[in-house]
Amino acid sequence: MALIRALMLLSHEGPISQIKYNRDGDLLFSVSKTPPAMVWRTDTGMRLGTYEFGEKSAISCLDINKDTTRLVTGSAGNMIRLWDCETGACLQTVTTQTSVRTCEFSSDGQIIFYTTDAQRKISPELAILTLKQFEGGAFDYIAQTHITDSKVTAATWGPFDQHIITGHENGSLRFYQADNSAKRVQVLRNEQIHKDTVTDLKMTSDKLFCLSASKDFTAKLSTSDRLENIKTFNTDRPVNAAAISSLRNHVIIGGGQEAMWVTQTHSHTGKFEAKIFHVIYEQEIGRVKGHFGPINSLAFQPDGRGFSSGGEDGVIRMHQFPEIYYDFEFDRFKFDR
Amino acid sequence: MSEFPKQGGISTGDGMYGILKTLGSDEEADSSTPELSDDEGYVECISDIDILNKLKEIHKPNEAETIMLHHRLESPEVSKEFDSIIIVENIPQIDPKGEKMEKLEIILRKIFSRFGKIVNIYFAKETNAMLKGFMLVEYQSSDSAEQAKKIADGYIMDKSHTFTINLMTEVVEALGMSDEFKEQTPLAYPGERQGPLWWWAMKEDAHDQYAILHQGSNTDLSNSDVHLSLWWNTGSVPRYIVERLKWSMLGFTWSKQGTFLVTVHPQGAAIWAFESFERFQKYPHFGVKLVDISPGENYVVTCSLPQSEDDQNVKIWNLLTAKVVKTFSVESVVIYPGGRDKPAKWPLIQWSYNDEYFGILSLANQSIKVFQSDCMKLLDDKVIHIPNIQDFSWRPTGSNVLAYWFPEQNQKPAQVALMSIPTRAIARQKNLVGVHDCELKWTENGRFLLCKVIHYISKSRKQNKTKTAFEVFSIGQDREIPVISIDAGESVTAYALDQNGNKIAVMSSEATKDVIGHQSTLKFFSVDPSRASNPFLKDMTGVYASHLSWSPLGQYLVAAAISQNTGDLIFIDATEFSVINRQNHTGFTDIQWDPTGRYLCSYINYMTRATECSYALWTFYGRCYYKFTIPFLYAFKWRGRPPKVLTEGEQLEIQKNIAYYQKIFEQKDKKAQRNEADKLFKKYRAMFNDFMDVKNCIKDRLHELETSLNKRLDSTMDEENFDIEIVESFDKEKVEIIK
Repeated sequence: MALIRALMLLSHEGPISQIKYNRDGDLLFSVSKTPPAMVWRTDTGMRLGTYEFGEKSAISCLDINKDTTRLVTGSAGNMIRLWDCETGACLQTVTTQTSVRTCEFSSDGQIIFYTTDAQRKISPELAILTLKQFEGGAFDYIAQTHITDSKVTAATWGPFDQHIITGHENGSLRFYQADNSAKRVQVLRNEQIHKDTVTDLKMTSDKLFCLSASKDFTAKLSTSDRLENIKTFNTDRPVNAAAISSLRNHVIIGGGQEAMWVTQTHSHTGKFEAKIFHVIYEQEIGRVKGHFGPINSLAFQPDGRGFSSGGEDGVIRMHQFPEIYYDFEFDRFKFDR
Repeated sequence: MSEFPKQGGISTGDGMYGILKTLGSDEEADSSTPELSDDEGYVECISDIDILNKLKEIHKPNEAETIMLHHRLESPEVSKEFDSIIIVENIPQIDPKGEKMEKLEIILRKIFSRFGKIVNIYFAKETNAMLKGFMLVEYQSSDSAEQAKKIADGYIMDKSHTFTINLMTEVVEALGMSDEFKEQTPLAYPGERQGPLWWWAMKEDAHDQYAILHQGSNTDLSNSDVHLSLWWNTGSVPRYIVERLKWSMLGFTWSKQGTFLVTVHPQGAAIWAFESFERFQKYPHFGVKLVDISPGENYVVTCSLPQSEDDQNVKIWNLLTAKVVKTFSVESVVIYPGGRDKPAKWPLIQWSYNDEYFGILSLANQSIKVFQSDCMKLLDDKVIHIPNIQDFSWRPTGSNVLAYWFPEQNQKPAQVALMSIPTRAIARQKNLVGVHDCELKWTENGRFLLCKVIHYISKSRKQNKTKTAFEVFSIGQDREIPVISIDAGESVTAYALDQNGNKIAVMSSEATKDVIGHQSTLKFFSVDPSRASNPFLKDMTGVYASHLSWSPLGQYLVAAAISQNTGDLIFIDATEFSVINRQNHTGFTDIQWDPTGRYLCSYINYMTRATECSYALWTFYGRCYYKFTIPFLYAFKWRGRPPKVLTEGEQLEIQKNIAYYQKIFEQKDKKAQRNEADKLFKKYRAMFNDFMDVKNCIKDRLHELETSLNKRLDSTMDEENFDIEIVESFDKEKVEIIK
């Protein structure tokens, strides 16, 4: 038992939907079901500023480009917004047909993709657009396709931005690639990895693996170029979020009972802890308590020396690992070093 | 059955071969009919197993035949000669010398000659010259025998006699088993006799096994993902034995001596044995909910909920043959006295220690029905009528004694009494006044009977103020059965009697004025009759627990806070009345000592507490050496141990030389630990290497992809420059802010 200090960031009024560090790891961006989006200093936990929306619809996703100049957010108000990170000015908006589920910058920051939910008779959509003329100019759609069979619930860019890895409501993971000439995306690969909805999808920092979290109580590590499942982390709860360390072979997994059951259970039995697993041995090595509701989003600090979690309770907890974390050996034979 | 271990198979095969020769193929040599059915003088006064042995002696196979015999055993068709013989059970049990005998034989011949020509009929006889209730019928052809079984099985001869018919070949197999593991053939080492059935107890390490019923990570509770897994408790990391999916759907249990694993399925119950855990026998009983095995492992009791009035929902089976030997109709109110969601009153049928008798309590008729299990009849054809009886309990070892109690009624005092069976003599009784409730508990060695008696304090009885006293009956060598009364005060929350000693531990908590809450005290009393005047031994404060549990070995006990968030486990040495260790296991719902009394398991049962489950294994002095988290754990059960083989003298001898054995075992443990570490090392190294291989493999693949991409992309230089410019300007601004 080691103590881990947490900074509690309490400004959000609604459940946190996503948190992300910038690449340098000095800033943390967060969005919740109630606007605005916020940015925090990671060393002190001070709030640097907000991104004002002027509307009330829930924000579901965000991404920061590599050099921390642009922020992109997607909301349930059918809107993708591009922000200037520094000034907080909204530079550009894209109106979508339905509410946005995921959006992400490519690694050069020139292209974004977004996915949307199904609403009434409109089927979910996956679109890729380029930001070349983002200073006032129009977005250029590279590809835009309706996905009719199963909703995209999580997505991220694959290695070298060659394709988009998507996680679906039916538990499958897929590769989508843009076909430039037809302005459409097409499925390259389709693997049934999970048994239930994929809730989170992240690439490792070296882009070799992708980590998927699912409501089927597991998180799984698959190869990023062929989607072969190689490691499985079993828990006793629906997993809402997962993150993988760049420093050590650890993943952190968070989740909890569905929000509708939360009021009926004690926080002790609600299984709201974040669990740390060893990647290679698939064993739980620690857990961090603190949230009073399910964890919705997790992010490792880019240097792997800390992590943050955002919960249904509207709290973001920012943790720095204690010294003992770096000395910890799961296998006493020290293969891992 | 065909995969029966050879060792047992051959030895029994001998005997069966003997009977086969005499009954079957030797028919031409002897004039068969007179020898077998008429020569009463010869077969009198021997039981059927004796017959087998006798016949074996009479017809000793010579060498050539023995070889042939082995050949037979290896071939799938064990014995063709048996095919034409059937065994008819449930024929009237009458005097073979009486007048009715002739008539009976005529009737039976008439019935069975319908299926083919009868070569021979043989009636089995009781020692007291009565017919035993079954007979053998030999036909000329096996077809007739099969026909007879098919058609006449279940033939109702009259009201009380319904035939059960089996082919001899089937029974041979069943009897083969019985010869191997029943008590009838005395051998020097019961362990050897039990052979493959007691395989786990004969392992050199003498580790114990446990079984857990759990569910994987699946959310749906439709029993689709239920695993039953078995483990060795090694004192360090448990060793895996076997796990099967859907092995048991509705819980499981071990038989008392641990020989059989009992699983419950919607279609019925099944028992499993041997090292391979193959199915030993099954008991088809649709909708079975509760299962029990008699302590001597001769009978299986299954119980379902009654579907209609007069539904024979409780069935007693012969464990070996899987024949129903007795059925009862029991209302669901009796099975679930506290309602369907409360635990059942189980076992309903209570067995005496050696399976000789069993009793059923009937609250409605105010009586105990005691049955003799060899004939499944009421003892002396009479129920034991005890007005207002509330509960009874058999002595678990030693002799057939049962204890019962009834409360006050019509100026008659309440009473706890011991009754010997079958004489029905009251061995000891104790009258009590002002009794509210009473609980009867025996120690496992049958030495003490503990009655927890709750007395009313006020005479009006309207206030619910009660106090607790213990009445301890000690059954020693003497004929006298002394009773000690121990007054334990008003607020007893938990108590436990030393299973192997003479102490009782009582937890009482009293409200205090100065401290908010309760002050709890753990008191020890002696139940030794020589200390009857002053049984109080010692009290300990600062130990709070909801449950007390003695190690089966005695001396050590654990005070446990069951189903509480603190999950305290306090390990106490009762010789010095000191706390050895305080530990906690958050939220555990049950504790169980292993049969050696050296290890304790605490676990969270998902049914009682819907949280993340886990179980922890502790040594008796409170060191946790293993803790395992399972999402859904439904049951944990230690496998029991067979009775001790060594005499008390031999046991003492071992105790004397304990230092010598200790060294050996310590060395073994060390070696085992080293092996374990080696294994772990290999496992980890393999996992690590595998992972690294995969990682390198992807790295290579991605590198290939990268080079191919680089070849294609050659016009992105400008944009990259543009990127770098922005980064620089951003950094400059940031520096300014910090200043």
